[in-house]
Amino acid sequence: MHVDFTHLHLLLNHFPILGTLIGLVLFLTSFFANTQDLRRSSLVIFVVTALLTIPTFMTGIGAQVKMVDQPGISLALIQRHEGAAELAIWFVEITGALALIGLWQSSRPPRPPRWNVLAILIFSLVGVALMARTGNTGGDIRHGEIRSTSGISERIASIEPSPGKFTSLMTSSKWWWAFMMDMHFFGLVLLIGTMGILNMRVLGFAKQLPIAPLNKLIPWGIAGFGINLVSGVLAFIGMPLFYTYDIAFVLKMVAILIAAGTLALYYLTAAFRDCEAIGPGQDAPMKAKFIAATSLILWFAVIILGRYIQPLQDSIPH
Amino acid sequence: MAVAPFLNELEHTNLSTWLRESPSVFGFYFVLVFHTLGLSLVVGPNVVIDLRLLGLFREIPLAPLKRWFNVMWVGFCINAISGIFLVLAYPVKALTNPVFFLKLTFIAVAVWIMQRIKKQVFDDSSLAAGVIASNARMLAMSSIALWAAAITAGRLLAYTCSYLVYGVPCE
Repeated sequence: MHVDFTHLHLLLNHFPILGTLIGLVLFLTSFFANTQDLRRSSLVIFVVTALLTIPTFMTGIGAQVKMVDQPGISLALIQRHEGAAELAIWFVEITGALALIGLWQSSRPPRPPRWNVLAILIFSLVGVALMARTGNTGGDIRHGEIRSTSGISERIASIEPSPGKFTSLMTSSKWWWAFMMDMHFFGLVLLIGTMGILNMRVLGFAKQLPIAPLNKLIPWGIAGFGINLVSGVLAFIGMPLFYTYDIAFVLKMVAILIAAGTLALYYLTAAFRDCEAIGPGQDAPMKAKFIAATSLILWFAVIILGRYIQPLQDSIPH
Repeated sequence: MAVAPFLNELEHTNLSTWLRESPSVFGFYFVLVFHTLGLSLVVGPNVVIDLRLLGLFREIPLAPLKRWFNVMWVGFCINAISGIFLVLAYPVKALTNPVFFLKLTFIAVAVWIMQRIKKQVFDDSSLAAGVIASNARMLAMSSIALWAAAITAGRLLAYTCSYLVYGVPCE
């Protein structure tokens, strides 16, 4: 089996399209349910969808390079799809961020605050609509039989970003690029500082710290991650071919997804509850230590891989 | 801009040339990796401690955080050493760039503040009673601002340099 960017893109695109929809359906249903389980599940789905939307978005470039010269494929239709994606992704990511806040605040007391519920409702509705549009324009690339002839697709495209212009905007000023990279370091510092102190405590460093209050650091770490997500996606849009064919960048994205997975593992499993009760001087359970060590190693790997992006450009043959 | 001939000679040494031009994975970018890791070890915990001193995360007891100063010092040493190697790789680029000297100044003051925080807040025996030194807030805010300035200055080096190597201008 031959795996390439086109294959990956078509494999991954199911997640943003179905994830936003299923998340929304569960979220709406949760308004009529008696327990918070459905609400929490929908929020988890929004978060997972937001994470998987990133590699989906990024593999699109490699798919474009492969497809654009083939017979019957229109560059204009590809770019319309890309523009739709460049709008939709922000709503999917914001929905995921809001869902994460909702999950965070719903541990105690057991429901997310009203502003959060309202915001998620709005952003997820728009997200579903924009993902439907993105999926539809994606299908148009290959499937002439579904293309509309009414011209409505072009009219919608007029409110969507133009990929060429978006790319040029990101690289139009070296000071803007320096600013984005600067923000990327601020996010890195927040993430490593907060996640590092919690994980190192779980592993037994600075044992006089009780573990439960350290969880308060994590929202700041997630904020740092959010800063890096935004600056990172904007940088990718600015230099898509540079990043797409860079093995260090691809591996960095994989490491981030796994690292986010370990965070989810920590909070969704008993590890979090077990650690909450741990006081000064006490040892954390082995399962929690395993998660903490994996998380630390992964985030340092992310930093290392990030530094190797520059010298490993064009490392993926194309 | 007048460039000291000594710097040109430095660039011709085996070490400097190897760092700049070696295709080995242990070359320039390897050193840069350590510089970034060291940065995260110094500034990461420092920012958390600063935020704690500014009143956030009040449930985290202050005293046990003192252990993290060791980690921050390890990070600083990593960056001092890796920093020297980075300057050895591109001495003209670094030492003819005023932003580089600005960066060193920011770091020096930030580290001085880090030490003052350790002395005034953590080494103070009244810490156990939960009383924080009155100017701790000012120190904490300055610390955050200075590290942000140091990181920014570091980021801007690539965009503000005059010479890549002797006789070769930066773009």
